[in-house]
Amino acid sequence: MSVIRIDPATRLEGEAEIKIFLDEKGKVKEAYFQVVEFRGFEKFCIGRPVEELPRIVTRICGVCPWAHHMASAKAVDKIYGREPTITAKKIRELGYCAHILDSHTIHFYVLAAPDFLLPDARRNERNIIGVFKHNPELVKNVLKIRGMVTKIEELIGGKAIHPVTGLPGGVSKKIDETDRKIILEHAKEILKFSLYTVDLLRSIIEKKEVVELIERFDNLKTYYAGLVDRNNRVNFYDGMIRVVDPKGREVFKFDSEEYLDYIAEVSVPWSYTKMPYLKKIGWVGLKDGDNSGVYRVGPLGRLNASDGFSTPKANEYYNWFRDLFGKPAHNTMAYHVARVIEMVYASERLLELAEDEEITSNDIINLEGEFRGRGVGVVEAPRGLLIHHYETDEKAITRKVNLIIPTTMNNPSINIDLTRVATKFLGSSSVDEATINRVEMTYRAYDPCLACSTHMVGNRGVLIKIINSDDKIIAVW
Amino acid sequence: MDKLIAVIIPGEVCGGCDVSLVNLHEDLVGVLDFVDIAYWPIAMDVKEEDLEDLDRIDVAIFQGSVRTEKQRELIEYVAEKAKIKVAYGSCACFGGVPSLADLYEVMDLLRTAYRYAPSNREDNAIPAISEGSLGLPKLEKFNYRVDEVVDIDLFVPGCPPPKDIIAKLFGVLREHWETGKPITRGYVFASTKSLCDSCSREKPDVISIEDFVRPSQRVIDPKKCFLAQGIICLGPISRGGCGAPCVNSNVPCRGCMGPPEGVLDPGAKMVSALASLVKIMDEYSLSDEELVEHVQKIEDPVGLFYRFTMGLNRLVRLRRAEK
Repeated sequence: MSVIRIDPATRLEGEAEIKIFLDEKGKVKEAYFQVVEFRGFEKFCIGRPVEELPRIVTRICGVCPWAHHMASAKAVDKIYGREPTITAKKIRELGYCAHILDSHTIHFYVLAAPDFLLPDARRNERNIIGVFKHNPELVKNVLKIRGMVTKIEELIGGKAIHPVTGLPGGVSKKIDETDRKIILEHAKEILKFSLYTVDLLRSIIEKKEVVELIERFDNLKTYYAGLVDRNNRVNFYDGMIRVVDPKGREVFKFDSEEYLDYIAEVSVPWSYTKMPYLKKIGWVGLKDGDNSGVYRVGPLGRLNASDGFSTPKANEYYNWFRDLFGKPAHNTMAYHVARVIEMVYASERLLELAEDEEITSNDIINLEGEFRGRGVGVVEAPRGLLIHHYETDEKAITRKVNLIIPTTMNNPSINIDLTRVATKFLGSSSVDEATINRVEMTYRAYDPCLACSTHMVGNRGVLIKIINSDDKIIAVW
Repeated sequence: MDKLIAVIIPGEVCGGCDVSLVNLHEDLVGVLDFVDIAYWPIAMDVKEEDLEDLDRIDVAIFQGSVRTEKQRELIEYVAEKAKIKVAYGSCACFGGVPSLADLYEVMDLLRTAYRYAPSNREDNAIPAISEGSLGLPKLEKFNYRVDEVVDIDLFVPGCPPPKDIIAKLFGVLREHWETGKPITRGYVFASTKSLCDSCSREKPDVISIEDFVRPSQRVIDPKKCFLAQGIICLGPISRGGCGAPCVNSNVPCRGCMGPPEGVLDPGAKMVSALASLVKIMDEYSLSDEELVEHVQKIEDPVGLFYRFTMGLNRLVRLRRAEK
């Protein structure tokens, strides 16, 4: 394909673009989700003392810095051969549950909900400020709850954005009884709010017109991957990586240290985001189905790759979700539902940990262990499986860094999905704002974090360009 | 009275600066009393043409460093139109963590990410360089601070800026809106002094250490000055006013607030601060070689002393001037 020349009229560009190519007859041929920036963390982390990395890699993403901090801290634990103490693990998981809630509430209320709550609003009012004008009490409540969530993050991580407390073998700071009580009280309120959020979304998606809209989105029959505990329940902080096929059957289950046997990445000249795939299934290009190694992660991946949640209310909703969308759920719009169900799990787990007496113990760091020089740290980031793999020299100076990021893992699927949606909704001649919004709804469902995916910028100003068979841009959104 | 029209303009960012604004929580509602946010890509469904439609911009908040030509064009376009220009966050002010990349050539960064990382395939394409890039923009050679690209009126440091400092920014903007009080050009919203100046950890009159150690190597005393424990802390060369969340969480400062008033090159200043503040026990009886051995225990001084401020590193600047 020839290189597309960008029309000078569109000098000001977004940091990601969706390019939709039409054939001679004006029908959609292909759509590309193009991420246009890059920062190079894999290179500039080299040479840094490895215990500094948990405080550097947070800057990959300011929306999910905790995910990077945790994966990094876990990789560094392994490099130093130090098993964190039980209390340290619990403190980390507690902070991390708060973070899942932080990120999921931002996504649902700030990024996604305006589409559902103000479907008919004008584009420049279909946002959180528009929701505020429409329903100030709801937004004030969201902000109040977010205040509690970030308070917990500050107590555990020092800072809510770009936490600092992870050290090899544990954490730098303990939780005292006063802190625990604050966390406990907040956790109760947060749980109530999460339950309210599921009910809010439920009332929206059970409306007839929304059901019909959701049904018009295609089912993408991919593999799914997620971190599970011993009983194959969703776990955000620790566990084995479980992969299910497009029929929902377990095909692989492996320890994070073995990830290179299962996951590989191909890159493309037209995007700074790579295309990961399941190595044992193989890369056959941007296709779904049993023979394509394309897999999805994130809320949908986690619910599909697991058998439920370890907490009661979240598990009830898990069963409702399965009845609603089937198992595995292939409809991309199901991401939104899975995400709010996870808010319930994170709140229930937060409450459990805040009630745990061991959480206030002084035993927060273990300095003993046999140095290994290699470590793979894996967590479930809000947007899906996150892998940090480091190798060091004998002085624990970083020599190799590999980062595989959830939005990157979802990148092949986002591309396939966009081509399908564009083909389905964009007629041969008429292109209106409502159909463009279907395209936007598709990528937004994945909550793509572009900062993460190339270890670069945030989810902002995505431009949609429609390009005809003469390589000429005929429309821009 | 018309509200101030504000726009939030991203460069090379992680999104943390955006979230720091969302994390004003209920206070954000108070800001909306006098500020009309007309452009905020992370939170609003805006396109860049919307900027062209604005008949005026009162406040432009620039976030992130500048890495691509199109970021530069956007920033220049907005700066031309904006009355008050704010550099928000450490990347905009000093280059930030991503400016560590300035130690390397662009092709090195790309090859490492797309070829050498162990999950890559050997035949992988290099984005924007390999055939079929579909117009993917190439990278500029370096990360630039926003004030290297356009004139800046106000600086809001921090990674991300702490809540109190953001409140001060909006306090000044509110006063300007209400009374027309002029903006002090070049003002930095933080203390003029170093973090050490306000640090509550116990610091001996003379810091005398046996050796430099890494934070991973010992149990850290939560009350005592880090330097007095032999752990490098950037307190002496970092601006105070952040509320000290890191040192209060028992981890050393890494300098995200940038240098205090009057310090141009923070790394160079750190070298002289260490020389004057810290005594290695029996320093006077040590040979030059032995002293060097001690000092070499400070691992990766460049990555440490310029963690957030490579954009202020004089050698990097010289290298830029050459190219």
